Amino acid sequence: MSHAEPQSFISKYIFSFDHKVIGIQYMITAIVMALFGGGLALMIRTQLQHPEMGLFAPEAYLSYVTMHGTIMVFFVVSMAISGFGNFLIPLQIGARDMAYPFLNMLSYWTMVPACLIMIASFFVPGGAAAAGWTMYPPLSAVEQTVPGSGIGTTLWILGMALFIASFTMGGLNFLTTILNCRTKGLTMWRLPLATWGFLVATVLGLLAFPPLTSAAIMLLFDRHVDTSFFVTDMVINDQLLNLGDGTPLLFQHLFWFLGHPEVYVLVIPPLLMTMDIIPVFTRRPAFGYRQSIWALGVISFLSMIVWGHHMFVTGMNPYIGKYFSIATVIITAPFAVLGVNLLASLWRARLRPAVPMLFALAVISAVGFGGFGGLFLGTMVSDIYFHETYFVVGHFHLMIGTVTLLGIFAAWYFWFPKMFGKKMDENLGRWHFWLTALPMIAIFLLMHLQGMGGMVRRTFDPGTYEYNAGMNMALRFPITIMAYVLFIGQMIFFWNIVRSLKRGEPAGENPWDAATLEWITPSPAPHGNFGAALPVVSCGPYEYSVGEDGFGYLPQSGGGEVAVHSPASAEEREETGGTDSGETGA
Amino acid sequence: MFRYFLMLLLLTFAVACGGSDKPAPKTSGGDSAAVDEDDEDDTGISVRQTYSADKGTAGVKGTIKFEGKARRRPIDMGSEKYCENCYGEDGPPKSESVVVGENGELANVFVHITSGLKNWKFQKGTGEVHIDQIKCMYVPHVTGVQVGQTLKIANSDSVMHNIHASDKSGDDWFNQGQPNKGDVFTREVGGSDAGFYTMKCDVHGWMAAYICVVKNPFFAVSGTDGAFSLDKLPAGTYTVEAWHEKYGKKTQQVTVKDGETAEISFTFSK
Amino acid sequence: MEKRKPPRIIIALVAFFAIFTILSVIGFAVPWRSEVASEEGQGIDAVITYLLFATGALVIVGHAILIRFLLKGRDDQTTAYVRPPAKVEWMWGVIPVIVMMLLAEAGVLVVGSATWDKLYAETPTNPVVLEVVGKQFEWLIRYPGKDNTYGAYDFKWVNGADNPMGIDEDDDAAMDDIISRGTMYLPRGRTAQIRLRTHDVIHSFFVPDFRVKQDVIPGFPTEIRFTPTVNGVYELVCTELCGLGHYKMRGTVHVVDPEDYEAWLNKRPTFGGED
Repeated sequence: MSHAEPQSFISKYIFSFDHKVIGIQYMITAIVMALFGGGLALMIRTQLQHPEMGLFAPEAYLSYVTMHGTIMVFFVVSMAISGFGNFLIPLQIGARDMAYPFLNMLSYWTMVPACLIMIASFFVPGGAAAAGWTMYPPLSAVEQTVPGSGIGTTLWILGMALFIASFTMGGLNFLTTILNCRTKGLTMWRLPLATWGFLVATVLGLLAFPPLTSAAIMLLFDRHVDTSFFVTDMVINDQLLNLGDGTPLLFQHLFWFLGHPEVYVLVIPPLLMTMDIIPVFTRRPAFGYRQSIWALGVISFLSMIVWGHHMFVTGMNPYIGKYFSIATVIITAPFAVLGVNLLASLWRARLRPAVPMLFALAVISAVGFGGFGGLFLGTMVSDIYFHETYFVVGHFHLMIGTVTLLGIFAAWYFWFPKMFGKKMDENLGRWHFWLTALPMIAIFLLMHLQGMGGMVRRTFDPGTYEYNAGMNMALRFPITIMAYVLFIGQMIFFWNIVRSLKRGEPAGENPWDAATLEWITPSPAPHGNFGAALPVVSCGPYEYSVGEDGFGYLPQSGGGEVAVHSPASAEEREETGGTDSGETGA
Repeated sequence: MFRYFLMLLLLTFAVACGGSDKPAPKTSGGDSAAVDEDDEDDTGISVRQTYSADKGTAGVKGTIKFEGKARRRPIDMGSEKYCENCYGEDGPPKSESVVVGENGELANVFVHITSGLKNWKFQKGTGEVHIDQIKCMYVPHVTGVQVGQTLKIANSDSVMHNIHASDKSGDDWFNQGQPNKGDVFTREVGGSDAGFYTMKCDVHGWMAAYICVVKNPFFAVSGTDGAFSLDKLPAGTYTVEAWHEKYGKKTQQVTVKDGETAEISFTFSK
Repeated sequence: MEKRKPPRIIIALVAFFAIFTILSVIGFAVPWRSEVASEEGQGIDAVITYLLFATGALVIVGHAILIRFLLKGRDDQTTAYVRPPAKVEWMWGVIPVIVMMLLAEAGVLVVGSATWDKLYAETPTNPVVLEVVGKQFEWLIRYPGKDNTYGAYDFKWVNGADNPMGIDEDDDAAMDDIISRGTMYLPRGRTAQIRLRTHDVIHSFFVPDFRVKQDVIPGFPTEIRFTPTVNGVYELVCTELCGLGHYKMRGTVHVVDPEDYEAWLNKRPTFGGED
């Protein structure tokens, strides 16, 4: 668990065992991969906007679509979550490091080759994998069906194998650390919601990934060793290929058995980090802490038995389809509990509208807009119309793109001081906020409308169909413009990071006056985290609004002593409603 | 230290395993100026002369016939309005699988020499060979290419075609989308590309063409008159092969002397 | 206890939420869907419309609460905050569960069930029977002809120019089969019962105007049924990524009066016919 303080540059910053360094390594890698994934998105949008310009070949376009999805889901969002999990968990539970520091380092350095392989797959003959991020066989299994199903797909499978290995190593660490390494007094019911989120997501991920691993291995075998798990005899170029007697649908079942829990693995940590951040900026306890955790458990359990809602129109037995629909829409209930708790946490809040809080509030709105789209897709009858249209694209981008990324940005601005000892610039942060939240919600709501019009996804030239002419085509323009605006917003974010690292305002130990354990360490947190003695916890993580004037809070390890946080003068209190550090409310 | 070594090993392993198991798609090969001819019974070390046109004064010519009735259905282009609109009242063309003239002349037969040239070295082919996609048909239907020539396939239609070529065993040679009028696919044909390929457009399934890549310059495609002619042959004994897309191969032996042109014929039937 | 104006940034945020909510309501109220042209499609539309109202109401209510809490938060500046008791927290845990279960399952079980059964459980009377092969990148349609029997097929006979569906040329039942590339004719008012198959990768049969969709899976023939109700020409779209020409895999469905349908069928050349 604890390890010696590293001395050399390599052991400090390259092959580090320290969970904080590893966490930052994950986050930096996620940012680099996000540049690739985002660049691919811009290429996709540009092709959709101007198919007449002949910029890309159709097979190349499909590889952009495929790799954009793969990179964003696994190598950006999932990796960013791993980064925050690594950084936060030991700090929030009062431990010196993860349970298995060496395994932790290995998990990051297994991820790096996976990233390199994915990027390298663009430069092999045939190009990168092009069967969609879902990689359904036979399209992904037989090279002659699309050029990207040559070497590019083999590389994709290898990259995914490494990713899953890395995730498994990291997941084992998260799980063991949270369960076994909590400091004295930190019962499960006193755990911060962020750590709960990592715990639940980890368990879900560990349970759900194995079927995808086996599907990937079977796909590899079908491609290279002449098995026929998923491939059948087919005719390509008027030539009969005797490939066997397999079942393409088996892959879909295995894929979505992972695929559905995976989206909760992606959404739950950012959502719970948001729930962790909100009390700090409302100065109120989180509403319904226990109810949220129970809801989380129900969501996780249900998420594992509803994968068939991705397959309503495959020709599955209709009774099974009906079951999957009934079960899927039940998930809206615990999700509504989370939504209500998010809202209720704002009741009578003493709002401090710092940048993390702005992102957190946008998360609530995004969950509202995006979550309900799930009902249209989970209800089997309406899914018949919406399956594989832009409605699906809009829905999942609102959830695993917008909700997750807004939550991750909230977390970034919130914990940046603890990571680097400086604060991110507030003004640039606000620019970033507006140029992110507004475009993201706009783009994907508009895509829902295109889906309403029946526009089909993964379409190189939507103008091929007359029914798309009119509103479906017209909506492309605002979406594409917003995509470019979104990109500019992220450039501002990167500029903010560089600037803040160089000459950001130094942050003290606890710039936000937060109660959880990570805020009693220096900023940035040092090796070993907590100094000579580990903290002892005596209360829950959200004891705000205590004390005589209601301005105090109980730090978790404060032994019951109220830390009073109030601004210098009553006047300032008037103006700022209780904020400090010179932030104005305007 | 051991831990770092372990990590390095893992890294190397991971990167090294990125290679492919499938044979790489055929690329243009051969840097040498001279190319061996594809003689089946080449016994190896012999002093070969370099062929040039003035050394070949013999020839083989003939006619190819088809016995029996061959139906040519009109092509249904209903899946693409653009293609239908290219044709007026006469309607779309008929299927090109078996093109038989009034007197049984069989067109689109690829004729080439499969043995007898082992004493000759041939320069790589030069120049371009064009296949066009016009009015949703490939022109020409059967094309011969010598190794070294540049194959150019153009899309002269204002609709997306893809050119998807594969060999006899079903492996892809190339597969490329050409969404725009004016798109040209260029390929320098190399020695490892030798063979017969079926090329189809997947979007317009009636479109089919055949590309026959050979290593020597003696090949021809029979026209609608069924006639073919192989010129500038050096004297010798040769096996001439005629290949039809539906009815397969037929071979004949022929011996020619300098200045002579032999006449042979092939007859295909169902 | 003064009411304090919220900071400008919060007002901007509230405006953002409010405007987006209003725009969404307007946006989703616009009829994006084309006029529905099949019976089953009407059932699908009913579910969609129900969900639009149900979720729309929830989005409006949720955002209204969000906006109110953001704007009103500062009232209790000087009094101590009274923490909601556990009972209240549990109540607000149970209420959303009940509301969502009712709303959501109503959509599945009440509004949608009948249409699901119609699509899959009922046996159509007097159906129009045809077969559709989805292949890279075309739709091939076959009518069984006057003998109501399909000719046998085998992949080994597939030839893109002459015999794209691979039909046995020696099978008598095949002689009157009618093959069409990409163009389907259907009589209005009769249920089309379409056998779907493919000889390469997964495709999906979708006609937006009918609202119906069915995947076409290699090795696993499927079936789709729908009853067109309005004459017109509709587009058939491939809705499962099938390769570089996926976007061009377009067919047309012509729904006409029954007499015109028969007339079209009679005019078409048959598989065994002379040209």
